[in-house]
Amino acid sequence: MTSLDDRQRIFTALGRHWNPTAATMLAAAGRAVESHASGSHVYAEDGTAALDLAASYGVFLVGHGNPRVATAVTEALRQAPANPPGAVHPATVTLFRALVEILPAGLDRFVLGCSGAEICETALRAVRLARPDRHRIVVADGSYHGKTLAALSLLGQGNHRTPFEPLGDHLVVVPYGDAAAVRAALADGSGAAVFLEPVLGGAHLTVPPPGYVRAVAEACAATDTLFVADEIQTGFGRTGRMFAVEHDGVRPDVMLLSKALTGGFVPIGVCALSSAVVDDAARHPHWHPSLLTSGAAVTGVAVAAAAATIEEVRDRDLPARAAELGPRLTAGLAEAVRRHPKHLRGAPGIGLMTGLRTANPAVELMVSIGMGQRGVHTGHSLNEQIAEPVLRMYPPLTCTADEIDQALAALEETLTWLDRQPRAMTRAATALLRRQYRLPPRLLLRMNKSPIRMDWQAA
Amino acid sequence: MTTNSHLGARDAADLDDVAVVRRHLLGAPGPEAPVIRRQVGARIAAADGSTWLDAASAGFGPGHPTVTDRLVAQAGRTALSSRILVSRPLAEAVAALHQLCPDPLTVSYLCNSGAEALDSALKLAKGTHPRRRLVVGFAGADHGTLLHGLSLTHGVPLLPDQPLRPVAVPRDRPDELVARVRDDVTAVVVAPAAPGRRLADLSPDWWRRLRTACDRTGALLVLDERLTGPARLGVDLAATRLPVTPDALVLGETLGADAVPVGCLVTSRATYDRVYARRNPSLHGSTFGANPLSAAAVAAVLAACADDRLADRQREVETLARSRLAPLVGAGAVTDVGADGALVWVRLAEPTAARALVAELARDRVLVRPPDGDVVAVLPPLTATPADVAELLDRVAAAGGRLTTTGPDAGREVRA
Repeated sequence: MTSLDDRQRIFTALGRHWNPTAATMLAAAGRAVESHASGSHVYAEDGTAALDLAASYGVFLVGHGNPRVATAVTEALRQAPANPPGAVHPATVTLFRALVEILPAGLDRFVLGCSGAEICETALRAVRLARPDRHRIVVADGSYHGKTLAALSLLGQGNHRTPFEPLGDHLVVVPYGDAAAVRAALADGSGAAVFLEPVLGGAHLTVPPPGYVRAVAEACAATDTLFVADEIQTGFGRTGRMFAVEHDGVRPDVMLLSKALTGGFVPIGVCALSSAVVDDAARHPHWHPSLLTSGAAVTGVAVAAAAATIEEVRDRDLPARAAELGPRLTAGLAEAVRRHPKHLRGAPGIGLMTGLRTANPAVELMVSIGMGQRGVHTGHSLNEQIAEPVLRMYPPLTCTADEIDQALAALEETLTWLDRQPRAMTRAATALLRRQYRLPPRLLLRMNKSPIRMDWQAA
Repeated sequence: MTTNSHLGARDAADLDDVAVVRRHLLGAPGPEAPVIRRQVGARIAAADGSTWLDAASAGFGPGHPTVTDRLVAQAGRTALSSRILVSRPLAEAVAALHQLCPDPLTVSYLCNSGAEALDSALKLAKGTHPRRRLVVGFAGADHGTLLHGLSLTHGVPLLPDQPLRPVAVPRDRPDELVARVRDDVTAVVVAPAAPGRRLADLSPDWWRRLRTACDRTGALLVLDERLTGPARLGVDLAATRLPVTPDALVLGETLGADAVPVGCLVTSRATYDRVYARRNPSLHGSTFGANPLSAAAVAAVLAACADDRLADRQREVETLARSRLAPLVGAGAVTDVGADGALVWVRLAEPTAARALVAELARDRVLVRPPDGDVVAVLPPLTATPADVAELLDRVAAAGGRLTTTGPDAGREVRA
């Protein structure tokens, strides 16, 4: 159990020395201190446990603390944690052999990074080097490719870009799921690449119509535009296939992998490229090997965790498990929408990449809070600006049918309570949410009856 | 031995392993690269039975017992996190960073690499001055592997319309850099010292003039301490040796004990608030950033730096490096050596000689980074034992001594 003084010390440190706004929000929400996590559950120091359907938007694909990955991580930490320049870590060999076996044919050149954003930047450099005379990058409305400064210039989410604009004039944003819009954007031959999530993630979670990804790939091929598949959320079985592009039988020119790849232990990202892209890039007049080199921070622990995670995914055939268990969750969510249509708009999902499309951000928050009160963590978008955010549910692929049923039961209770709330109230609450950062932070804590003393205001 | 072990004895020949990496990894090491079996400090036991000394990682060093135990324990509890709950390791890490950094640098943003941390500083600068499109630095300086850092290094924009365009000033014209800080500049990025450039090369007066130029224009002064901090220069941070305080300080891989990817941007509350106050905290961040395992690494590394007096140890490395390497200067192909703490480097008469030295060192089982032009960096881990450092420097001295002068400029004393 964490004492109030102890909690106060933690919040004071976070508020003064990390992120004052986030600390205020965590304090206002009365969040407990994290203790440990195992399997499908996260435990707090106050003894409470929660079924984790947030899973860090897909990171915990093989569950928390997966024993196989934990063993590999511990072994690497004890024996060979680093990955010095000029040396070869043996886990890198294992990882590359596995990647070559599972990736679509032809994607066999790798650049490693420490996050999805880093390798999105790698891909951006690669496609611009490989197509030097082409100016435009096509992305989908609502798409997410990271928040580093160059990755930001690819973002299809305007609210994250606005405070930093101008960021360049190369971006063409098309509606997601509309292949004709992609064909039109590429028609004049000015596109260097299309960056596409095979299933649109984030608060915009959308499963495209069958054949959409194939149509995009064909439009790219017809115009010699490079097709970059961002599988950062979808990779390694989340959608019921090892990679989401497999649903349409597509082979991209570049594929981006991250989130789930180390089983929830260590940051990593992999940019997988075809040799043709690498060869084209190397013909650029300003080519230098450092332009497509791996990050210095990629460690031996990270590659060991990644290699073990892929082994776990393959040995347990977790893509098949997602395909088998997914309908139980998506059907349950669809039934919840049918029974409680007042505040819900839909239940997008494929495999175990699922969510509830809510009527407005206040509904998303209220469902998230209600689920939390019933011991289930969900993937709240923290995005109060969009109209109908999706509350995401990305359980570990190692979860059980009983755990899915437990989550659906908690959802039924939450939605039954929510049905008693008027629509007008959720709209008013949404208006307040959209202004929450303008409210005095101390007021937020008082409104939520937080016992935490806010001692991190700016001087 | 577990079935998924990557470190045990292998049936396949090691050369095959290297070939796999060379086939698939862009920028892969050479065919003679050692395959790692075990690492402690500077010592690498290779799969072929050879032992190498690491002067390439430039980090904290693997195998520190306290740090390793902390990381193993944290990995056993929670490594990454959904961050729905409150993180005790993160609170500990940011409090430790506050203790490390000079006031008013009190706010830390933890991310996944030094390169990301540097990028975060530039994003902060872009958010401070959205309409400005330039960032200034020294040409050829290493500022990481993301687009804007690479653009500064190469001195050209890598994309025709990237968010910030580089203005890269030649390294030997620091006054030009100060003069270029005008109202169109978002940020100036400078590393306090680097292989081939001493801390003392940029004078206190120069730093003061740079600070004044940044204050006058509002450009952020970003100090890139990915290599120099903590402890490497024989002090906690190079920033403590400068007469000015930067607006943003960037730390990198050393904080992760070479085991956990991490980077950190430290800035003042006022600078942070100009962009991020009263805005959704998800405006900047990453899935992995500020995770409990990386926070535990930061806290453990900073505690070890203090407990083991690692800055003092780097001053001993400096003394040893000067005594062992100084005799090389002028006697053959070596024209200069530098040692700021454990930031040690050797300048050769020409780039071919630098490449030759790297090859000689590889034959002597010393791992160094590829040369930067005519400079070879010798960067042992902070936790390398004195005996390993002495052996490492002896091997560098021996290899340097074997090189003979070649080419028209050979033997030239480069320093004025």
